[in-house]
Amino acid sequence: MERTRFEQLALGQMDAVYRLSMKLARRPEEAEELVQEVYIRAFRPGTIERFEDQSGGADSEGSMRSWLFAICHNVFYTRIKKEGRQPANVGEFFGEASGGPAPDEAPPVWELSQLDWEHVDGRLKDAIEDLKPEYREVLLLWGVEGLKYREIAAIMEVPIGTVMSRLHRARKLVTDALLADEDLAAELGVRAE
Amino acid sequence: MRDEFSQGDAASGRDEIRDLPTLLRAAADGELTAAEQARLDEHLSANEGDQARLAFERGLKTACGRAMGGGRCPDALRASVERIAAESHPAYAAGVGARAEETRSASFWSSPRFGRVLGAAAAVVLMIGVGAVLVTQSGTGGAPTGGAGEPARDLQLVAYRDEITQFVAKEHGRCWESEDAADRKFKFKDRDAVVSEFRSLLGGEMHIPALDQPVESIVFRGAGRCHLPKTEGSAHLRWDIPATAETKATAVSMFVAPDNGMLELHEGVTYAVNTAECGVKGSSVLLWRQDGSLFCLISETETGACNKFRKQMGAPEETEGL
Repeated sequence: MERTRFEQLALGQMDAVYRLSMKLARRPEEAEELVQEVYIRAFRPGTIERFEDQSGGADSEGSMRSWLFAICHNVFYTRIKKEGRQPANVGEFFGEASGGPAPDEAPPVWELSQLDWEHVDGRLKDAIEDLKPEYREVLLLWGVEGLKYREIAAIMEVPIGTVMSRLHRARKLVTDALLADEDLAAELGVRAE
Repeated sequence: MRDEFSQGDAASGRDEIRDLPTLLRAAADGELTAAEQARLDEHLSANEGDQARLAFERGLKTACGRAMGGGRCPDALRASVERIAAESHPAYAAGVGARAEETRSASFWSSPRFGRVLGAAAAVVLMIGVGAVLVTQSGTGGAPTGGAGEPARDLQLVAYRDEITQFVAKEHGRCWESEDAADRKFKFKDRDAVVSEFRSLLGGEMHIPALDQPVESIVFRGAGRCHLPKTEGSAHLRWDIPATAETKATAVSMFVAPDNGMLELHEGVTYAVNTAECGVKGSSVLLWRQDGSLFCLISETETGACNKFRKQMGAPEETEGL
């Protein structure tokens, strides 16, 4: 791949990389440092070949985005590990292994013919912000970037089962946060089974 | 429910066993195999409650996407990343990199209007033209230059001077305007913590008289990590100057980084930056090099704090313009 094309693809993903950085780091200045670090690494000599290797030669925006996300994920977790501020293990948080089978709680029953999701965006944002970084990351890759489980697994370097498990827990946490407001739940016509 | 779908999945040859809730979530995510989808469709056709659950999962995904999406990379960060791209380009390393802001943008190089060859030619013409102007101005107190034979180096120096000055002005202002930003950044509150934190970055102890010995009328606010452009990292230290009956509260910031040599500073000289040329009129910026480190002191011009405390900050007396 020519350098110009490589740069074009990489720079085209800046918004996506910034979104992920913000969801991981949360603080704008840390997120900006993270984005710069990602691109410094991405533009090092020899990275075009590594990108081509890892993407199987695919010259696409999706491949580039996943590759940059993987760098972003690694830089972030390497940094917080170095700084000794590793977030609590999500498995410990739930008292079970992250890679374990997903709990099989049923989603809430939707009783109304049309649920106005836009109505809950603000509360949803708050609930998402309260999540641990692993959950915010998986929610972003799934909900915003629309990645497949296997793509998320490759970026986060975990088994697909762990992705499904984290995703389920993240969904459950934000749903529980919404349903914790009884008035809102009643207004939405949602009840937990 | 679990048994019904466990059997189905086992029959489909998948290793994992999917229960109905997992299947519903996977269905909402478009992750089902054809066999799983067919089995689920059959189940859903006779079960409105599970149709509603599936709709809920889809709605949740869309809402999460909406709640978390839409973030746009700030323009300043975008420009910075584009510079990273341009400066890591082999052409830049070969010496073509010193060029005007316009040509640093990746879009310029990839523009079909110019093409790579024409783009490179335009950069060379621009470089020679602006270089000639700088050489002409060098005798009138402008930026130091290396002579007519080295326009590229001069441009690079001036561009870096501008970049570093704009950066420190922005960071100093950001942390002064926001107490929250200052709290987050200035984590190291005493001399020993600061020296220890930045020893490895600077390859030794940081020596700033005002850090070693408290100075009357200024209060050390703290130090934190920063990243001066094109350095391995840097320290940002700040001293606050409390308000008096005649003056308002203000501050001076000091940035210290391993000197990358791009400004070609000589030890024993303080360089007073022409901040108006750099686009940050209203700020005073002093630069000097000592023991392999680059020191950058900044304050608001009207306070005169840079010059007032330059000795306590370790700035050499001899001064030149930059």
